[in-house]
Amino acid sequence: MHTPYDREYYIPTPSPTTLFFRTFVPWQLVRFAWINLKMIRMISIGHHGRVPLRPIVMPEPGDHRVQGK
Amino acid sequence: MSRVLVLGAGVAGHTAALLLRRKLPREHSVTVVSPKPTYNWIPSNIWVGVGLMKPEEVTFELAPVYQRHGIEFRQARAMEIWPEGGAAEASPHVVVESTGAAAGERACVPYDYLVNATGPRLNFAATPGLGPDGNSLSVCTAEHAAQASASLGSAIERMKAGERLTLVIGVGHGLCTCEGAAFEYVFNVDFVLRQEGVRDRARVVFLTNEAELGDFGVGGTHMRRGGYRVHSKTFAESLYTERGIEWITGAHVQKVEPGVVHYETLDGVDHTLPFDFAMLLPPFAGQVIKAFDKGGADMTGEVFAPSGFMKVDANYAPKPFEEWRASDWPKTYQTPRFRNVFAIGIAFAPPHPISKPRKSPRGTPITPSPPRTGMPSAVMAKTVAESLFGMIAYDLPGPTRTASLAEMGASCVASAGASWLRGTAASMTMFPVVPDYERYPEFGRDLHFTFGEIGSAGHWIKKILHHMFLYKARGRPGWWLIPE
Repeated sequence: MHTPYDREYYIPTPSPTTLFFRTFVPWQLVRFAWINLKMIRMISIGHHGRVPLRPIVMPEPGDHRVQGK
Repeated sequence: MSRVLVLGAGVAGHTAALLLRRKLPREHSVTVVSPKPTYNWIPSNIWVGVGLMKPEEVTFELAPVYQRHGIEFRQARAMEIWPEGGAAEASPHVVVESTGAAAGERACVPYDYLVNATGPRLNFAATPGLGPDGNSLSVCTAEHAAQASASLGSAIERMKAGERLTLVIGVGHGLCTCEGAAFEYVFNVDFVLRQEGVRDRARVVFLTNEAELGDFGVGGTHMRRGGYRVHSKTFAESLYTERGIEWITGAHVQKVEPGVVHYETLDGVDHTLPFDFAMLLPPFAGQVIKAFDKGGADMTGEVFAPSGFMKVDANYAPKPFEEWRASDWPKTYQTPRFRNVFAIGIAFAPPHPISKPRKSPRGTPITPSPPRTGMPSAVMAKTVAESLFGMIAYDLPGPTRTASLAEMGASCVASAGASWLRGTAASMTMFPVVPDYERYPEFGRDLHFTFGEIGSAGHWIKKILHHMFLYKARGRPGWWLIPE
């Protein structure tokens, strides 16, 4: 418990409803799907790129038609 | 035929080795050198540290995995790099010292391409009395976490017997990184104390070098919430307040004596905090590896930064915070002097911190170091593996893939209590990891891809990721389909 005018007094804290929904399984199943979609979307846009001005088509694994070193 | 040598078998090194072996034709060899015989899925050490998992659940033997995949494994520690070759071996090579059966025996391991993924040296020595050999605990390795769990168990028994104890959790130096791990551990300890019915007998204090809670070494992040764009500081403070966890920010731990931690805060004031249980993470340094030129002259300062991390294609010119740019961060992780040497994961030297650097009036730097663990480490590994594939199999002149921390996003799921129905975790994504104020002038990040929320769904994701990434690391069928 914090007391009036201490540091914690000014900090937003969750309401009982918010706390309930954090562990309410049906709602969390919806959030589970939504968070996964958000993460997949983020990963798909920003994983890694290619060096500019070097438009090289990378071969598929196992494609060894070009001579190795 | 090319020889690829990977130093380290953590997230970065192990991922790079598996991907290289999968992609490269069999006439090329892949060798891994690691001082430990086991792989450790470090994110789950948190659960070992509170007794919810055993060390065996977060580790496995590397040798059978590498044998199955056709990767040569040497249990040894890298001591010297000779990128131009030397008297003992004409071709580029690394001198390693065995940590296995023939402990202490030295050998030269030649390479054509070198991937340095040696990870951090846990620099407990930076703070007197810090660490399991001193007066505090750690969860950085599975063994450390098991030790912390046993100590926490004893503390819980004492509280059940009626004692009131102070538990201090956080970081043990002003330049530590991995504040996220300390955040997870303090919330899991709080959760376990509640489950054991002793939370009212514990004073839990979070001690951090972050200037504000929610910084996490990346300057924190803004998120859209309830019609506002709110900084992560607000969310973090709310989570600590909700649980009754005290916090001390901007702290540099000076020393840890038995039962007392001494620290200085950003205002230059010295403090002491008595404790009954302390888990304080150490700062990271690079592994102690020397580099020599062909004639045997020491060139360590040219290859490595003073911190021991390897210099790569970053802009290391010293400059003030106001002049930091996203473009300072490396893209290909190739070293500037040697085209066949790369450094990934924690092993590469960052150009500067991500959080704004701060000093106390006495000049003590108190700034989180930039995190580069977990997902970014694995993405760097994949990027370098693909670049090396092009350079080896197709004779391409240089790396073809990039993965700048200023251009990639990251996901993080921070556990706040492990239970399928009552546990929660904070799920967060940010894009990019390093704020780019030229591209996103207001907050440095794209708020479409930067979000966070806490709930059971996060715990489910964290638990699924634990099993999924261990499956991937074990190289089981279809492992490569699991993204980094």
